[in-house]
Amino acid sequence: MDPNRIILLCVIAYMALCVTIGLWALKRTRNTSDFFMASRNLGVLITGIALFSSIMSGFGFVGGPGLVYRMGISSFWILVTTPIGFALAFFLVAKRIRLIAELRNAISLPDIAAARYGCPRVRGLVAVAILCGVIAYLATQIRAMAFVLQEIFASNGVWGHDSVVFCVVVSCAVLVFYCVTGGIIASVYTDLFQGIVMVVVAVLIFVGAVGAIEGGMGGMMEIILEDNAEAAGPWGTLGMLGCLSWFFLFTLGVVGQPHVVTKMMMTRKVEDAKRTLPITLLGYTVTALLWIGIGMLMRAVVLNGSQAELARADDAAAVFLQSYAHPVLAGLVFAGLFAAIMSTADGFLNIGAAAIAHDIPRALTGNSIRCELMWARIATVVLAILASVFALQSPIQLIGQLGAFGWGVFASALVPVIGLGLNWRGGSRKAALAAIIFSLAANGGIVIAQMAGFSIPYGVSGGALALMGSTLVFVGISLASKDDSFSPDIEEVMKL
Amino acid sequence: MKPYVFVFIILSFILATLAIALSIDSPEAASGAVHPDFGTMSQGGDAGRHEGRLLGGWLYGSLQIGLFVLLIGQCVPSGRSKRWLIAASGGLYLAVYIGLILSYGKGVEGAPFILGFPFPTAWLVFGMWPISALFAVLYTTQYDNWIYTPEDAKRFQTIKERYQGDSENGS
Repeated sequence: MDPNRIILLCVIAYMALCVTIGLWALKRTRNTSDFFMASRNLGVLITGIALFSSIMSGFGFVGGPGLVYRMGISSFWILVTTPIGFALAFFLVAKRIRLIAELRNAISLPDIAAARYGCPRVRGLVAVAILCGVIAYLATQIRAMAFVLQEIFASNGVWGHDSVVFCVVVSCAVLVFYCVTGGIIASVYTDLFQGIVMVVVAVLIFVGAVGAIEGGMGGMMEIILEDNAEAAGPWGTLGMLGCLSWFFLFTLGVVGQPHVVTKMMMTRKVEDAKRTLPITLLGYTVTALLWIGIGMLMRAVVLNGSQAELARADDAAAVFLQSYAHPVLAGLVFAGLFAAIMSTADGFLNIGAAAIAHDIPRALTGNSIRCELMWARIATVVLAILASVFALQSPIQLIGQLGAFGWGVFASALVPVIGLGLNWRGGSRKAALAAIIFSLAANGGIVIAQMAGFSIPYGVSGGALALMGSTLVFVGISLASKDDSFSPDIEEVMKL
Repeated sequence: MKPYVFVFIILSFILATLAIALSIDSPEAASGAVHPDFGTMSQGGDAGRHEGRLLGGWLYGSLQIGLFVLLIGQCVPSGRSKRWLIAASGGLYLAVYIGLILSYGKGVEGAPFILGFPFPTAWLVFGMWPISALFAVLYTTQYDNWIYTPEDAKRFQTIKERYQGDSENGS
């Protein structure tokens, strides 16, 4: 069979499975607690896999190998530091967020912030920060899905392959279908399947990549080192300060990713967290092998002349699949790629819908809206349409910046307010409000400055600077203000 | 002193270190330059680009490690047994990072290969990466002692019985 047809069939089969899971989850979604929290009934394995597959997005499967191809070892700092970020997130957030969720029947992160700070303005601002980050991040995921689908359609001669709008509509239709019907239940069960696919393809790809060149990993490194020793050194071509700014952003930043920490509220028991962390770390580490394997091989084979230079660094994964992988494996990887993108996007759709249908109305009126479940489903569709329009209308250069903006906003707004605030009685509501406002202004300013051609010296990440600034603002203002009073139940939970 | 005063001090030092580093004129290819033969790749110049900056880089990274370990440490109430394991793990993390800096200072070119990576890079891949597993092992094995003890679980049940019903659905 034509290899391109095999790839197309794998992707269609994958999408059909997502739709089936959506229909299955529909029967289990009866109220907003089911839709947003899976009724806090998730097991250890499913939560562990959903957590890592939420983080290892399309960026990991496409952008990651592209970064290694372009910069050598530099992006290893993201891979090496994200796992310690997971550990930090579990230490800082997992227990208390789960306790407050159970005590207050919280169904979103802004619910937790409102309970902790006793302030509707904090709830509203957390929801706004989440919404800004979600739209930006979702736009990059949708664009990535459309990009991959366009390549597959083009190689199969499918009608409309040259239309990015057509590809956005097809990929979003599947995503929105299972998110609207099954809410977070469909999302985490597709995450489970998606995570397993990602792990399997990552191992196969790594073995294939290492075996594709004489001398394996050492052989690749020798070629890279011979061309430029710094590219093979621990800082890669980006240099020390740039890598260390990633170290900060991707370690502490994980604590503020709402699609990650929200899932910590959904476990069956508080104690499940202790068994969830090892599963998450193992899954993330194994899938990182794809990032390393493809990136290193493609840089090495282009340098030694056995492969023509890539048109773009982000083509590393696609060219590898066409040139070095068996068609069935390539089909699996493309399905895995969709899995990676969708598993991140579905989480964003769910928390974004919660912000629109649950948190912002509550922050404004103090009450829930009637028929919240119906509005949550409508909000999911509206959010997907908004993000799609944003993805289609924005220039490619901006799309890249939006992904960084999303991670930066989540990290700098939520690390101090949620990560530190849940552990420190002294964290004040004034400080929380100031940190979120600082975060939105700093990240927005950085994107605008970068669009205007300004760059931070030494390749230092703007998101890292925003995170340092907002955390300092939060801690500084809290230290300078009197302790706020707590609701008696939250006061007692803060002592546990 | 309260832990969050330390957090404030460490964060201030991190920002100050970064601000000083950013204020110094950057050498050629400090954050990479376009590869002369392949436009989609970058090169990192030579090791001279970090000359005189390694100490600053060591401080910048070490302060970050200190911050992360401090944040983990303050999640475990004082008086719980084996709390020293966090400090010991942090010390090991710092030692591995120092190993990376020192071996990089001696040069990447000509360095021996360890399991396919030059020695300085091997510190990153086989040293810093597995440390995260160490913290995860501590979290998993010490959870009932550090994070959520059986007594905590009983107290939470009491809190729930006392207060649940006062507040509904995320209030």
